[in-house]
Amino acid sequence: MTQRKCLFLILFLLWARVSIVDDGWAASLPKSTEEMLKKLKLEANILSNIDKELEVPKGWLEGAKGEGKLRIYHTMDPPQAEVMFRPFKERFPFVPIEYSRASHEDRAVRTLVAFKNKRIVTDIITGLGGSFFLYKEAKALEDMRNIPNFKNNPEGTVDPEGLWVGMHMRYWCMAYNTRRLKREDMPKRWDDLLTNVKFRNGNLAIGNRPQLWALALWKANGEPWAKDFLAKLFTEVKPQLRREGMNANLELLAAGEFDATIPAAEYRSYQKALDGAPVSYHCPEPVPVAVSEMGILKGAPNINAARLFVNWFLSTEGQIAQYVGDYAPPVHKNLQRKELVPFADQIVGKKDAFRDPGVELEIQPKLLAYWDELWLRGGGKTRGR
Amino acid sequence: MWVASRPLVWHSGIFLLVLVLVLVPLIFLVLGSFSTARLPGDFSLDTMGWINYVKVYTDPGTYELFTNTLVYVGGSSLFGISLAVTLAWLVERTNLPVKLWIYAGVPMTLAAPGMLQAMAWVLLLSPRIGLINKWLQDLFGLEHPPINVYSLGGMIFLEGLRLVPTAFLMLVPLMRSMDPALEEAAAVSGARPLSIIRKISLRLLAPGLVAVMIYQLMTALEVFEIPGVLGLPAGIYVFSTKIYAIVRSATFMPVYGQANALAMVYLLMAVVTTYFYARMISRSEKYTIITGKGYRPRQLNLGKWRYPAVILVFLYLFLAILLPFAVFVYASFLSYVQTPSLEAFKGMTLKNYRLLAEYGEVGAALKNTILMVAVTATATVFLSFLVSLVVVRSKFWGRKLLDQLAFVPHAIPGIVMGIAFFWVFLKIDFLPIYGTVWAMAIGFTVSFLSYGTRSMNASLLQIHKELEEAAYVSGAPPWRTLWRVFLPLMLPTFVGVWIWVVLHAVRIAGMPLMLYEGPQNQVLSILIWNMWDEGYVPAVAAIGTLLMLTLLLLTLVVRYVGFRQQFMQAPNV
Repeated sequence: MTQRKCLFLILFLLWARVSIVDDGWAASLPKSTEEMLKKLKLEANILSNIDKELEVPKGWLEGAKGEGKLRIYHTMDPPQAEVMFRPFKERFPFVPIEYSRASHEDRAVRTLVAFKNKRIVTDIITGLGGSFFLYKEAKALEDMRNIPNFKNNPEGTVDPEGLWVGMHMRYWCMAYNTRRLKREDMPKRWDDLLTNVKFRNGNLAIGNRPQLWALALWKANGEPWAKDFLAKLFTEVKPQLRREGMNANLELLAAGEFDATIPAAEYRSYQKALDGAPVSYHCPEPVPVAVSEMGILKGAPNINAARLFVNWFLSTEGQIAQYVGDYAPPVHKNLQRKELVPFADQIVGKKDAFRDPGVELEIQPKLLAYWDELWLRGGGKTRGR
Repeated sequence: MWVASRPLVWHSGIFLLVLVLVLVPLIFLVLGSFSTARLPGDFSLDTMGWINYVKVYTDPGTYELFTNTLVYVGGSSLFGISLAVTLAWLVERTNLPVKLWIYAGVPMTLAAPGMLQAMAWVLLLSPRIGLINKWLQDLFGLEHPPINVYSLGGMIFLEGLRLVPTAFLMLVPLMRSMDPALEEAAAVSGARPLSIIRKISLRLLAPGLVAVMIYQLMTALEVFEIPGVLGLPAGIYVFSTKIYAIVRSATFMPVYGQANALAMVYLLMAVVTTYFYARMISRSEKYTIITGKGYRPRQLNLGKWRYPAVILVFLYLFLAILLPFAVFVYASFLSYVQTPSLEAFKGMTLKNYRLLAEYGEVGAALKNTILMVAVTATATVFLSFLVSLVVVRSKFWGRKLLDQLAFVPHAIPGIVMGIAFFWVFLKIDFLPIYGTVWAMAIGFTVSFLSYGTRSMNASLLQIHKELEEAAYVSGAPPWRTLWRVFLPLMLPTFVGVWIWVVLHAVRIAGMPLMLYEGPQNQVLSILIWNMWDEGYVPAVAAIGTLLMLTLLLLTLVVRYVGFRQQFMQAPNV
């Protein structure tokens, strides 16, 4: 056999192996997963490790079969959640899910009030925001370090004690109305916001959730900068101080109540833009980044099903399904890709400011005290107290 | 003698039940106001102190609350009653040509829940996106929007509009039954029409008007939905919304004791108002204006003012029901909120209605709502009937006290009742009530007990004892007397009270917001509130459109089946 023939033979065998393995993956994937990969134009071998990722102790599987409906409190709209759950349901048809879209108040306060009253109203809770320390104080969360895919998350996106695990990246920047502002009007750095006259006279709105964005900036740029920036923002730019939730502010932005709003999340802005609303998204530098938390309530009656779900959710498949559901950027180490970040041109490649829970405990009280003073002086009211 | 007349065990049982249902929450409310524990579940007698009162009443913001509440309640009552008096006078005492429209149209406005009306008016009068503001700006070339609905003025305007139908229904009989002799004498003596209205008609009406005024003050004081939708975004608090804001902090664990401490003053204001109202009612015979003489009230000829009067009437109907409904229908077909334009109409979609079908929570909330209102209405009818039976028909020693106890909830604003029951249910955690729709059903049943017993008392008084005595001497057992005598005779009242309760329980958000734990006991009013708060405006418009249509149909059915009198019954003027 000539060298040339040998080379062809080797190439043929390699091709055949890749094809067979590809087909093998495809055959082992749930139908909904295949559709998702197709929709996102992702190569099938992105899930080459999925079977290993989904290996769990047998006891969990057996235990889950004997449990009731797995209850999940999340922020997704139910139709979006339904899309996300499809692969999980195909893989684990014996785990029925009772999904509830729960407001921040439901998740952060009511669930904890119920827990303290010995009532477990959900098995899985997500997006605790600034309330994690209250849950920790109440010993309300399970240690999830025994969940195999816990290790899939990058450093800083899980709790060292395993009480929470990041479920997606969240970029808290600003959204703007494309009929009122152009991309070139937008500030390159946060300081530019103070000098651009287009944002004055109530054209800019800010929501009363400084912990989502200003906290990360405080950490990145230091306390003196943060205080000076916020003071000038309130006194010189004089934004509209909005009491509504961040999603409501996006709706108002689309309607033209103001020209731009801070903070805004990339995935919600993207959904709004897909709806045809005149909304786009922009990140001045540094980009405030956070992860949203997911946890299992201590004493959850459906603990095995909850572990199965969290493990699946943190897998490559779960993270892709989440993105298809509501465009939330994955947190999985292997999925940090531009095509899985909405408005990637506004985020990827820019300097970022990461908010971790340590910052929440250390800086948040100082930030909130300072913010409240500015907010009240600016004509806003306290966060209800 | 028939069973109701004899002091039996069940008389004491009913007395005890009402005593527990009414007083236990109030006791917990008071105790909770002294609790220094963060959560009701952690409360014990060792954790009591004055700290909540000190914190609440040393806060300058609390005094702003008094001013806001007084301005809001006074302003809206004044506006609402002025409009209602005008409408009632136009239909009863003038030759206005479109009376049927008013008789039919004004009660229809009851079909629109306050929360939805407020949301609709946000879409109309919000400073920047409000359709009316935009049109006014375009029309007059104004630089700034002329109206801001997020203000005390906006709250007064809308609550005033909402007070009109009840006040109207209370005033119509008063106007109709006025003896025209004095007015006719004045007219014959050459007095001008306006002078007759001012010096005679209004003075004759004054006692009834004061009663209506006090009733409306009580209603406005209690309302949570209007200040919740219009005041909260602008940071304008009244008592009901401040209590909500304390309890529903999104960032920190709420301090429930402070909410209780604030609720005490709110409760005191409501009790004082109710006291004056009850006093007014008890002396009603002093203000009698209906005599035994046959007469027909004189109809004033409006002359050239007929057409402005017609315009006024239609303007009211347009503002109170047509406009809010139209804006909801429009918004329900949008992808996102936008002013009407060719582009907006081109982009119209059914996706919000589809979302309702796919949104699992809507189905769950609907199921919870149906269960909650059905249980509440049935329990209210049943309990009210039994209470009234004891009060009106028995010689039970505590019957007067029982009657007064049943009236007490009338003085307790819904949100205060909600927080009181919240404490009760969290403390009695051996009964799994908190976090279920039963919690709301119990709270509402107690709340509506005063209305139920007033209606049942009136109805029972009209049934002569001879009927039950005849049944008794014929050997009919008590259950048969109930079945064959009371049920057929009181059926219209039962149905009237049942539907009245359904219509009110489905629209009120204040109490459910206190007793709601999560999606598992979410009812429609809470779902709407949460979705609005989180920016699902077109979806809320879709739910609102369907809900308003349903309630409108229910209102029409009530009128059609002839229970109008019970359903629309003005509460004891």
